Amino acid sequence: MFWRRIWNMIAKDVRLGMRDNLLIYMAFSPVLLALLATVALRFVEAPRVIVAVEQGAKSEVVAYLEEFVTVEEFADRDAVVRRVEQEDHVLGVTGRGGVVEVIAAGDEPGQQIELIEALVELAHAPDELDEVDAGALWELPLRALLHAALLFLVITSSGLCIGFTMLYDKESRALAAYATAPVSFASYLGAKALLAGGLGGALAVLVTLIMQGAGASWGGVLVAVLASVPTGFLLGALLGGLAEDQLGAVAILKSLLFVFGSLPLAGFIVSDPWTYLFWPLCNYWSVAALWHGVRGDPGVWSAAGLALLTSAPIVVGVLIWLRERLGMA
Amino acid sequence: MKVLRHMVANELLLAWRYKYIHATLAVCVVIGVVIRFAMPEEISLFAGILEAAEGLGTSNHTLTLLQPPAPTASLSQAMIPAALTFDASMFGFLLGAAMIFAQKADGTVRAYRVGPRGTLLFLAPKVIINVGLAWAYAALLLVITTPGHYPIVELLIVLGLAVVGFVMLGMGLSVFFDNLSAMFFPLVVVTMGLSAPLALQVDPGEVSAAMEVIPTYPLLMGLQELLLPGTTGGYTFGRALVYMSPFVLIATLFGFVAVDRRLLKEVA
Repeated sequence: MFWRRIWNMIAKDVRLGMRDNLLIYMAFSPVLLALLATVALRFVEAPRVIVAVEQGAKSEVVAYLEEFVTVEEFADRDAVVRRVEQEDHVLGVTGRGGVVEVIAAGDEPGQQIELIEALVELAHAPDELDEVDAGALWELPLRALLHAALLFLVITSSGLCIGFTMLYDKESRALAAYATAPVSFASYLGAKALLAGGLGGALAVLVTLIMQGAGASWGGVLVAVLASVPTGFLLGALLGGLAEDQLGAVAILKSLLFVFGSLPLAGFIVSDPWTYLFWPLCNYWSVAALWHGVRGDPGVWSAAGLALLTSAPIVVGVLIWLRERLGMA
Repeated sequence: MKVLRHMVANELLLAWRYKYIHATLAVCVVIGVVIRFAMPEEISLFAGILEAAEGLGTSNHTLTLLQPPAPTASLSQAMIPAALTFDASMFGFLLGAAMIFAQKADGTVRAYRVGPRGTLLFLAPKVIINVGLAWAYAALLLVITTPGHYPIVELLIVLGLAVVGFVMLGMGLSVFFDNLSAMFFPLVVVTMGLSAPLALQVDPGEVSAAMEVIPTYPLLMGLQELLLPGTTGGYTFGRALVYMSPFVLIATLFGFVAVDRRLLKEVA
């Protein structure tokens, strides 16, 4: 009887989701974005720093540069200077035999000048050469970063799916009907969690297949996704509990998406002492777990543990509050 | 004019009641505090190489700069135009749609169809509220992060124009959906597409031609040039306006036609 009720509620939410296209969009958008990301990565994963090199420049320097950046050859120094003067951010390297000259226009972004200077010096220091590999050049492995972001999108979308169906139950007065029917809070929420979890799990597998292929770090991804489920649930429960109608949901969504989406990312960018402020946030640890998980990094275990530890008390509190709020106490 | 004032007051009341204003300004304060106190000057994308080369000196090369080094924006500074672009302005896209759904839900649209007021008067108050909210957001963010003297008129123009475009786009799209949840994922996809230039704030590499046609790119660059002069590599306020104009025109036209033909005439 319990499972039949759950099944009926899932079927109702699926019908509702199909009618508003909510489930269709939810299913397609992360997969579509993963496909687009895979195509885009083909263009940006190659080293993006370009260096114009004078033909005959020190061969050991050129060979070393080629390991890290894209090298274009030019006949002489004047040709290199003309290339550097163009509007893009190409740097130049000249100097046959003697001291190497690094040429920059002066408006290069970020640390590109420092990077080329460092590479030229490293090329002259054979002892240091072994310590640096091309992989170390890019602090942010884009594919893993996008993969983690898409998995987080899957988790938050699943949470929002729960929130929107709760909202629909409020607006359509279905909740009031449930209050007089033999539907417990556990079966009501269980149905929503099963639907969102099933769909989210299938999407996480699809997104991982698209982004990393069958050789992905499945164990790490599984641990990270499972540890992030409470975070997604919290997002949906807060939306469904706080919003009384779809329009009120806009302001709540604005605040929740900021707290759940932007703040954990800010936690990885802010200066060191400020990172401690993010430690009590379960969404910060969820993102950390996904980041470690997609790379198969052992750090996934501690991050996943902390995600569960920080989310557990909030989930318990929100469940008690939500039961009252939905009139199912 | 009196009618317009009355309608703006009504929309303002609605935005206040649904806490759109509270949420927008609260997020603005948190972003401002993070930018002001917690954001580092830069993120090192080449840390591995730079650390390995530390202590090696510069004896094996010379550096020639063809022109004096251009001023650059730190990460925290660059986040100010980014917040104005991707939060203050783009929220108009969601809020514009929400305002249409509000009037669909409370039946105002049906009443409006048989009333004497035109489409322009239906749309104008929503645009005015959103532009005002974006301006208030900008003022608050600048006061929290970097109070100072800025070219106010240019800032108001570029922000105002962008918000008009986003609000009209949001209102135009909302006409094709029954409610917010039905529109939610198209909204997410459009928002993610419009957010692509945000990547430049973290990794300011080469800018592809495709990036330049995304309307948030000229907005971002225009705002950065106004707030942090000289840090955009020669991107001017005028160029930002020229590149943004087609989007604003098309979005405005689309929003107007969609609301006029489909929502207010009940063609569907």
